[in-house]
Amino acid sequence: MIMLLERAVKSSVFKMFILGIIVGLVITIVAVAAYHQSGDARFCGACHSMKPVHQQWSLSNHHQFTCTECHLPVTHIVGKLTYKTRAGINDLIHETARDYPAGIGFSAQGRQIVNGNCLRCHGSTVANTTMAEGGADCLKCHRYLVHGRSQDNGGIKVEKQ
Amino acid sequence: MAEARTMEESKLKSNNLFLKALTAITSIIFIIILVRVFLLPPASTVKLAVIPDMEYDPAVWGKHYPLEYKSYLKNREMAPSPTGFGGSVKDQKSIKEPEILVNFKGMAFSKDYSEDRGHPYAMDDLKESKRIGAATSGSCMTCKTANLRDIYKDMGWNYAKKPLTELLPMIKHPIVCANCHDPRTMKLRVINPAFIEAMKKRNIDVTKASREDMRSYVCGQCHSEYYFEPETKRVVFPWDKGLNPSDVYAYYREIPFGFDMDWLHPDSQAKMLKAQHPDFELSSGGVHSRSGVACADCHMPYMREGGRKYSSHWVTSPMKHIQASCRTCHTQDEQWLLERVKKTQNHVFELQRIAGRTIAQAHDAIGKAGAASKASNADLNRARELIRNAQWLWDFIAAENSMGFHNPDQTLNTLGQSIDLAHQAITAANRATGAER
Repeated sequence: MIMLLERAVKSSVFKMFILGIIVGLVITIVAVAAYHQSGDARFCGACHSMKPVHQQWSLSNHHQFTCTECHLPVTHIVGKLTYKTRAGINDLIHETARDYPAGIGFSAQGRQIVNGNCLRCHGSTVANTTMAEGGADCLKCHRYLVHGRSQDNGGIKVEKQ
Repeated sequence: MAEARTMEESKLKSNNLFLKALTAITSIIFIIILVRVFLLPPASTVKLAVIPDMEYDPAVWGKHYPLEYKSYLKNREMAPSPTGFGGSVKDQKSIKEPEILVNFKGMAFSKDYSEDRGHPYAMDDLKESKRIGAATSGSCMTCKTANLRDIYKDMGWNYAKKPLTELLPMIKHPIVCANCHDPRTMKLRVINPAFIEAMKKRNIDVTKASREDMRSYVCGQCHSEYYFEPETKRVVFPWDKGLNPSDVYAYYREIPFGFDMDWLHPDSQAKMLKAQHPDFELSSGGVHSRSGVACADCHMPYMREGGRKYSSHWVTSPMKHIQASCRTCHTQDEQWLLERVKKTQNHVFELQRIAGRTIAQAHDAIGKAGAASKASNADLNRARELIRNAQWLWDFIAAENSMGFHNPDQTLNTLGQSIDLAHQAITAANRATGAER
């Protein structure tokens, strides 16, 4: 019996199995860490184009939430990952090309996603009001809630040489 | 056998080459991203350059501030405004509004009243204007050049009385960087002594003004109503009683420094006033200004190039860059916003024409009444006072550069009053001859 176990441990199939588990674990840990790290506000705010919105967010009364909690769709992990990959590649291209405008606005889909996340927490607040009748856009009135103009750093800093 | 082996080898080789190329391309992309995003991000500050205090050549400043200078050079562009009103093409205004020829009869604005071009043309437009002649006083160049600083430093207001032709050799540059910026700090400043004096009278010290206020004051130092004090030809802003059209008229009624008129209208014999681009006055009561929006917020919005943020120095209609000017605050799309502005301006233009034409009729009616032998002088003088007031209100809006957009409700109110006063003037003229009793 013990002999059989010894032989099994020594067999290449078993070794491959263990190695597979280890490699799989490492990949999973790295992927999960990368997913969370890249959802962190500090990571988003590291890009030049995102500095103003990061500054506004950090002073808002929603700063306990990270960027992705509002900007990723309310859906299963596959949907989130697909959107995140697509949006991430788009951001990387334009951050590298530096062709983004002075004011970065929403795409139609981006607006829909954020609205969905408003309702994820505040859904019950508006449930019995006309705001829940469909087609409502929270941001039409609450657009400066997180990225407020009043918290903007503003201006162009002149630096002495 | 050997053939098969070489085929296998070459296949392996090409596979290897493909892998190498892929690795190389990926690494290059990775390095580019690493450098441009993380290692050398675009500068978020502007480095202060050493520019001498007396340097007015914008090209010299432009070497240190290239993005701002590049946008300043766009002021040379001569293009119509997207709304059809204003713009920077030198068209005669009387083509669209022939009543101008009647209302300004007997003075230079009936000879030449063209649309203004951009800041770099300020001196050219002054020299080319048919309103300028040998008798023109030096005060006319006050707002046209940065060299005003030195001239005022040397002579004080004495320059105003000198003939313009005597001052021209001292003027090297039009409206440039130095009109609004202190080169040592790049902070905003105003250089027009008339504006500084007028603000002091309103208890505002422009040297202590906030950056946000200065973003309007630099424009307001010239885009304002003024008159020349008859004795000294000094430029004076008529702001003692307030900035509204009726406040300014109340100020002129008191005949400040003996200034009673710009010219005598040959038909109506009324002592007329000419309004000069009161953009600062009209906008300061408008909803944008009241909400804390400065001139520069819309006319010099933030732009980006290569990731670097800069203020556009292409001072023009915000309708040419709605995305940057309006959509910072307004969420509607560009077409919607443009249509909104057009609607306001069309409404204003309609009433402006009605006011202008009614005033032209009033000049004619008063002129005819004055020629009648038994006309009552009291009624005639009453009619002349009414038309003076009516034309002042019309001209305040017509000479302003936004076709009412800077303050739509004030504009429509002013034009409404003007139309009523013009009708009252016609009635008074008719009463003078006994046509209406």
